[in-house]
Amino acid sequence: MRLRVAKGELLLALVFVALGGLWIAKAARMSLWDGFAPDSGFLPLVYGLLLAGLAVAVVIQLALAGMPAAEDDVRKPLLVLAALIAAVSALPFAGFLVSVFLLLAFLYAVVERLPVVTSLVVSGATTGALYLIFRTWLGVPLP
Amino acid sequence: MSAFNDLLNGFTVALSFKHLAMCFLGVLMGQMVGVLPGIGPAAAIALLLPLTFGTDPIAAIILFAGIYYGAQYGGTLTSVLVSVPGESSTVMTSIDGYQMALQGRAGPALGIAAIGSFIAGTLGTIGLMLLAPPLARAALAFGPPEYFALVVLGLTALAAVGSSVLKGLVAGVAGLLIGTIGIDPQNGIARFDFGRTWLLDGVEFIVLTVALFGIGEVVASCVLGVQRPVASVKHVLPTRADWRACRLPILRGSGIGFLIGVLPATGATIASFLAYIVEKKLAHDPSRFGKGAIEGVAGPESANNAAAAGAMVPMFALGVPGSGTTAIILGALIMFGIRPGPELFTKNADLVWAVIASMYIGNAILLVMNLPLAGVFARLLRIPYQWLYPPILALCIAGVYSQSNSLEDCWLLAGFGVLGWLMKRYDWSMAPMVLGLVLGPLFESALRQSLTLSHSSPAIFVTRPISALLLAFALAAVTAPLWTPLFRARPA
Repeated sequence: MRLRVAKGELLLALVFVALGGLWIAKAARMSLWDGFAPDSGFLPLVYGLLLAGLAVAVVIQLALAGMPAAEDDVRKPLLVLAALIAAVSALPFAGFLVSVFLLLAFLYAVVERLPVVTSLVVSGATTGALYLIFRTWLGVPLP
Repeated sequence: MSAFNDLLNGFTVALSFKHLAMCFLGVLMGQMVGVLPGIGPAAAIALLLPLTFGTDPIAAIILFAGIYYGAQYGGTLTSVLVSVPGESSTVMTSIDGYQMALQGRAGPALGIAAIGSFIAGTLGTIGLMLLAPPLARAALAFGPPEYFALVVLGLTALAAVGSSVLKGLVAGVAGLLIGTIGIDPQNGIARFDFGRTWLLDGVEFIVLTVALFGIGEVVASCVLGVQRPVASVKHVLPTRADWRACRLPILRGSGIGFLIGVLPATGATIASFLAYIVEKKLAHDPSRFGKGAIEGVAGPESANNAAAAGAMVPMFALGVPGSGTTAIILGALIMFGIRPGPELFTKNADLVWAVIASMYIGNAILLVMNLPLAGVFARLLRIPYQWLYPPILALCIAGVYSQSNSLEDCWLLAGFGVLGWLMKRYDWSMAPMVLGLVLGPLFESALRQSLTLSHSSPAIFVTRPISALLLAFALAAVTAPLWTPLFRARPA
């Protein structure tokens, strides 16, 4: 029988199943009870069991419903997420100003296909404004 | 008289220049996020959390409350002018509001919505002022079992608000589970740190909230790039006939909205649906509904604003949020070191009464903003989303980094952001996850203290009447999809 569930939603539910499984495995090796009250491992074990069980129940519910959610185009959201991850990766060596400027310029000029000069001006202004707020006004030592 | 005196003290705090400025800023931002697509009040509050960290908690909560009820006004503009509800609570407004706009009556629709919202918001705030303090006083007798039951009720009620109770429960338990990362406060043992010292402090509320509501919502909405045609706004003041038709719907909507808002697991959306149905049932000519009946705008708009004030009652009095946005405000209170719940009215009376007073002021500001300036805010609808979301992403990175100057937090932001996008994409409620993280420590300590008191007997949770009652409500919320169909009217 073929499972009629949207792949992305199945992935999401499986992430929660895996998270629950990880917590069960680690909590089972911890002390569960101490005197009259639960110890460090008890609630994490319960949470792990509940999370895995409920996430499996969601998968079953979705499969029984038999109507997968419509899968619209994910290329743009994935491109935006990839750009965000790249910007976060670049923070330690490129610093805040360069990473954020490049992120904004990429999103405006490449992902949204807006005019290049306008994209660069808006990216520069936004990065500058954020730097002023966080570095100058709030005194945050940005990377 | 005590509530009146407390309110006067609240006004003296709320009318200081700083708090007045925060109230104005909050309602202005709420109005704007209500209008702009792809960002709601929860996301706006999440984005502002890092900026308010370490500041005056009264000013911050006045700002957040302003965003919350201001967004109810702003959402109306998109419903009426482009038939795209800015908030789920304004879905019903779009039915008759958009029809009025097509007939060239967008102005009166927005005008009556603003006046109804003002009256309902003010009546709702009076209700909050009268109902929350006695409820909090009654709850002062709460011990660990009652707190345990309250957290269970809060999580299950919030899980029941979304599209699927099961998905909401998964999110709530995931939040509790993430909350166990770090040092166990009871005995100092490190848990689930995976050998990383930076995880010993656990996952910060701000990181998870900004990731889910900032990154998740923005990435899910980045596909909205198109500019939409917007109806023009003229003559916002309703005629005498409009006013006569709307007086009672506004009052009924206020009552329905407040009562529904007070109940956990309901909120503004259900209140506006119910108000619309009531107005249609009571109308002399129900066939006008759906074709531009002004009562179909006045009733739901009044209801959603009164519900926003009503949802503050359980949040302030019991520490149980009635909606996703109040769950984030609750988290913000904890971030500021304030314990929400029955003791809030005694230990932080200044804060609560200043926020209540600011709600009266904020509603008046919103009325002024929405009558003469409705056309100005309508122009915001012409901004394409493609210009808005990149700066929001950049603000998320800067905000999360600034909280503890940690690059690792930025990695968590990206990771939880992906999770938030998937949850938003497939309509999994995200608020229970944030609430689970926030209430996790209270839940664990209440469970331990209760079982120590009862010598390990779980019967303590059902033999104490308040705890048993709260757990029964929680059970009712979780099983609602099973029993609510029994009460639906059967076709003749």
